[in-house]
Amino acid sequence: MADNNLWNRIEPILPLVSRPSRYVDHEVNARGKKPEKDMVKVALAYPDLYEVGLPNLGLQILYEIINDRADALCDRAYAPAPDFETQLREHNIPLFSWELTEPLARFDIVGFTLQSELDYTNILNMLDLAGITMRSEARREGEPLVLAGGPLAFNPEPLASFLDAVVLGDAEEVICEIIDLLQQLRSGASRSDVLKALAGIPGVYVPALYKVEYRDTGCVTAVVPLIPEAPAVIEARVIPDLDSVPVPKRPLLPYNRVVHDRAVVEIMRGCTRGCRFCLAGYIYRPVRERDPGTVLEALKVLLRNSGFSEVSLLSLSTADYTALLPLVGAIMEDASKTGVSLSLPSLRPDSFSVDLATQISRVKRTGLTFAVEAGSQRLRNVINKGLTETDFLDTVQTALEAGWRRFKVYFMVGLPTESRDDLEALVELVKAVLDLGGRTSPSEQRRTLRMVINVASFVPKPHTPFQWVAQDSKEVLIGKIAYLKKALKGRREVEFRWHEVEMSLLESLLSRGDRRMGAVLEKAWRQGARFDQWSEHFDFSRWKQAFADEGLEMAFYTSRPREKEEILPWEHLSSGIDREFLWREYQAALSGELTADCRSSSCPKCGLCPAYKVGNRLADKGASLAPTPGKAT
Amino acid sequence: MFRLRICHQKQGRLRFLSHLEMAGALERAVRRAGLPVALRGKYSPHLRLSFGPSLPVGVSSAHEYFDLFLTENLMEAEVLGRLQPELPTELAVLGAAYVPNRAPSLTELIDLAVYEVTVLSTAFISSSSAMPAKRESLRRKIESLVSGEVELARKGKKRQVSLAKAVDYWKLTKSTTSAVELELGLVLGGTDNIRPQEFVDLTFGHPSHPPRIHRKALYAKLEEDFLNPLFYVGVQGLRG
Repeated sequence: MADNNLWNRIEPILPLVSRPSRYVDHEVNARGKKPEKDMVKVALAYPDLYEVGLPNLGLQILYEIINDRADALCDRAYAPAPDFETQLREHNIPLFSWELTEPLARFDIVGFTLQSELDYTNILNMLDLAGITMRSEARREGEPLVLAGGPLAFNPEPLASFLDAVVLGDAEEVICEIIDLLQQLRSGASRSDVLKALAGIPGVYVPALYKVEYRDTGCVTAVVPLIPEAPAVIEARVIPDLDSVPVPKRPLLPYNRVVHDRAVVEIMRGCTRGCRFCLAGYIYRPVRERDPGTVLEALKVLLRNSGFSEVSLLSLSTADYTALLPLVGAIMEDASKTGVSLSLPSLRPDSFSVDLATQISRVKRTGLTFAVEAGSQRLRNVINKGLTETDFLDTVQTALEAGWRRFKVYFMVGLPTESRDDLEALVELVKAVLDLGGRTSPSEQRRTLRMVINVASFVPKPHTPFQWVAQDSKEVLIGKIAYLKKALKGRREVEFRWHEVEMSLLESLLSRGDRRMGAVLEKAWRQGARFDQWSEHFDFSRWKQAFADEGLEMAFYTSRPREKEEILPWEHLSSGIDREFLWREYQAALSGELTADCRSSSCPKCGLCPAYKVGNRLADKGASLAPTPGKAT
Repeated sequence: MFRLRICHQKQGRLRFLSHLEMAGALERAVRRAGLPVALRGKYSPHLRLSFGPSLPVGVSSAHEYFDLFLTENLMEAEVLGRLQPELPTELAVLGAAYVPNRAPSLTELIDLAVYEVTVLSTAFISSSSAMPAKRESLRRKIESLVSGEVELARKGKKRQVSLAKAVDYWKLTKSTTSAVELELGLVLGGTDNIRPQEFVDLTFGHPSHPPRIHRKALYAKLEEDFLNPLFYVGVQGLRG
């Protein structure tokens, strides 16, 4: 296997690039598993820089699961930074896996995780650098299977021409089934045999086995399976009980400064709040909580194996975890002895969360973050975030009294039915918070309140009630942001930040794109598009040109309202939720009606639980915190 | 409190870690080893470790040091034995010795670094300069450089540095048409100092490919003697 190892060619170029520690691997807890005969070799690839990709929990979970098998091996790859890419191309070094430093093209499977639309050009770039044939239909025998999974797999159509197969939903079981299949089909199976067999695995979508037909208006008329083995609709995989899948015990420890430098345990998957704009809230249903004893044990093991000084509990809405108080209490007790600190992401804007945050942070320098999203009650009801102004201001009051002075508040512009009144209400809400800050200041802390207002443009997502919505045009979005910026300009305490509107447009194009967008993606990449989420590399004109070259119109995808009967390009992929439910939620949104949280109240009949025979699984509120015998740790 | 000075290496591909990254890795290894380390800082406490002079990205080292402040007086061998399995061999610990709490810090104590610098002829391919043709001419060039002053630019500011003071000694250990190897004893701290990369640029005229730099040792210089920081800790006139 000495031929395959590219390290001797990589080492000489490392002194020439910035942050070479991104590429050296040999991290603590890296398996460095050596390939043996008959092992299925998998390379999990994160299509962004090492610093972003390494801490990704999904890849770490699959990495451990695959490496724990005797008949398989898992290695990793990340997007090379532009300076490293230049060197690789100049010296003809193909993109390699990090641990074995073997060419990605020699692996059996290369699996990408789809976390952000703006990563898509990096995927094409990595395939090109690896020397893997870009178009799935042209791939030769012996080339790796290019797979994808992750949240955006629910509409992978813009990438359909480049992916051999897509995994929908929870991947822990499916990945094992795919490896089992490859082991069975080892010798003699052609590429097309393998693809056909993959289509038979529940949750696996093989784009090549479907043909998409279009009306002359550009809308999809049908997505037709080409062989009987390809199901008309591909259903997502849902793991009913989170305690049945292991928590990674040996996290990969980067040397480099990565975005999240802490021990992470996923305490809960799924969210039942039903915020109508949120893709994750729909595709990760139902809510499945981990047993708190298991979480505590897992944290101890993780800390022992990592040496991290900070611990974090991961979920979509951590404050909703049933056994949160006892769990946090137990963690804080252990933590105070060892100098470990706890961080809780994604808290709700309510007093409970503030009390919790106050309990866990001795220092309030870091600040509290709230996702309020809309400025007026009416608009908050439209998106089903029932937060009232009174509740929010009470929360801020509680925070101020506890000593917090720094706040970050997230808002969106361009939400459906938004009018000038809603924007004015946003400004008034911010001012109300500032007024509170002026009035409530513990006598020994006369420091001023600091608020960061972060405004993003709303992007309608597939599989949500807003999948039919027309996005505001670029001019309208820019106008709205400018209005807010101007209205908040006078206040010293406020820092106004916003996401670049053109990036949001690109996100919108790709999130509800169809297969024809593949050609656009390829064109834009050929014109140099990479790392579109970095403003120094993002160039919208490349995309405009690519659209024009392909004879497609951006507005068709972004600002065209969809008809109810229209077949959406992702409808052959199911999250388990009834289409009718999503439409009802959309109508409810338009009339500003709220839908209750199914965790604590009646079932709004989204259809998922009966369809997949699953249900919300909540932890025991009064759980004792000894690990439950027999459960996976 | 007990101050243990630990010697470790930085080799192999981990020479590409920056100083901060290496420090972070050592700190985490110390945590994993479960050693009883003193905490520093009231609000977000972190472990009390104190590092020596920083090593740039790409430079390997045979001997680096850090001080670990322990709350228990463990045997040196026990500390090393618990730390070793938590570290990759590239960052292996090599030895340890207790040091008086009031001793000077490593950065105050250490004032000399010995480097082995290798420049390959292939480093000049896309550069405007070239590998020096003869050993003698190279030797004379260095002799003349080291006897005088040069202007060095750092962080946008220019400074006059006396190489006679900054370079403690130098040796041309190898000189062929394909490679030149130098051993440099460079002063750390003080007003006149030069980095090995800067020395190479002055001598060879900025080769396009960086030279291979390896730090062989760090010393505290006492008159004419080079003393190892594990044994000489720099405490003068200890009072009872």
